[in-house]
Amino acid sequence: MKKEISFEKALDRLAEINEKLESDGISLDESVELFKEGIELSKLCQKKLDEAKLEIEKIEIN
Amino acid sequence: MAGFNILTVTQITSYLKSYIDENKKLSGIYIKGEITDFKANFYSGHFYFSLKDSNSEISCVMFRNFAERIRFMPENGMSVIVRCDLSVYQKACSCQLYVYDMQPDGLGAKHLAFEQLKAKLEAEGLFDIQFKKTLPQYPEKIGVITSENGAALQDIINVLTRRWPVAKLMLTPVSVQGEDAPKQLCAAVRKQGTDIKPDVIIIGRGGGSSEDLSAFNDEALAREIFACKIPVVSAVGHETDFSICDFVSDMRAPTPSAAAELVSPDINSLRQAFDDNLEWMKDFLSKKCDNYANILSRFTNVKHKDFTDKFILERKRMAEYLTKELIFSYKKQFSKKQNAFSAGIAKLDANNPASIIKKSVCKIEHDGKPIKSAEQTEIGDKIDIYFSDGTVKAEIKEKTLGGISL
Repeated sequence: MKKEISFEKALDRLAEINEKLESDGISLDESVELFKEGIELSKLCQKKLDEAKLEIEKIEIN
Repeated sequence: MAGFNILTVTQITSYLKSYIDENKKLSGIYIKGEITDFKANFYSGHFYFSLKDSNSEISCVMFRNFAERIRFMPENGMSVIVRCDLSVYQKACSCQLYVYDMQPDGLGAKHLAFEQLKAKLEAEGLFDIQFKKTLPQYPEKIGVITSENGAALQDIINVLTRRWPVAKLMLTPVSVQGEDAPKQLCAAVRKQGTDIKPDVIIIGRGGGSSEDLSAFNDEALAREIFACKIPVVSAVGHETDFSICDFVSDMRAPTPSAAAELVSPDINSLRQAFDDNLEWMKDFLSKKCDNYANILSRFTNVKHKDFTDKFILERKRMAEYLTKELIFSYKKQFSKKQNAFSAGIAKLDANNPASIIKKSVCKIEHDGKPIKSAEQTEIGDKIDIYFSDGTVKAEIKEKTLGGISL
């Protein structure tokens, strides 16, 4: 999984994972795989939130 | 009067009216004058009045849908600027102004310029709702165009630090007032839109006099913002200040702090969302596992275990039995064939001439000479008989000639 994943993409992916988990005909193995991915993604995002510190960059016009 | 083209009164007034209405120079005009004979019709809500200057007077009507929108009450003697069309009231053949906007005069040319520019850009569609871009939900880069030393920047930093420190603030410092300000603002919008390319841009400044805020009413700036491919949030002055920049931007925020709030999600709600999701997934999976465990336990409970064990045992026995049967029948077959083979060999052996000889023939000699027939012998001869298993000496006692069958 990419470290640079955006929150937008992460949330989209999580929604997708949830949907797949809830769908019929998904095996336990697949569920576990999706679950693992979801946990990892959530934790990565949480970590990103916890470590966030507003950065300011100044770019002059000229 | 025969031969003359005679018109009715209605025809001539109609002609006059259409003549005036078709003249584009007489619609959307701005007229400055002093209000006189002002009447607001209590029932209809329309305004009827005249505008005059030192030489002339013209009657005006402002219908309710426009009258409702003006933010002050007109009075006799008040100097105003109206935006209107000139047309003819046919019933009295009176030329009058159909007013749709009114501003008190005295705010000066600047205010008029503002209204004119606003009307022009609005007509061109620069403020159309269809061009408004949607703000991103989770911006990673937030462009800010404001003064480096202003309160606006500090307000924005404070809000983002609290709400969305995930973002990176990309500041292009500019002068927000003074002669050079519009040019710098334009350049900054272009730089943000084409070079820096953040997810959203905040442009603005803190409160000030209308003169201070005038850089944000620049036409070139409006066009630059309109052309910008990234959503722009405008935050100029206080809540009561409106600028061209506000109208053309994708969203207007009443203050710079409010702009920062508008562009940023709340970090705590997002945290909560991830937490909730984690909980949901854990719950869901554990429920699913419980389900499977239940199904499994139905197969592994005692009764079924007995059944399966018995089933397996039966089959095992059957397999053993079949194996034995197979070996037995093979052996039986084999011994039958073996017997037949032995019998065949024995029969063959019995008919073998060598065997016959081996069984019955021996070599007989008399004085070292072989005896082949009875005729060669005499009574009393001492002969040597050589068998395959030994030698005997014998004496002929009788002799009878004539064949015997062997």
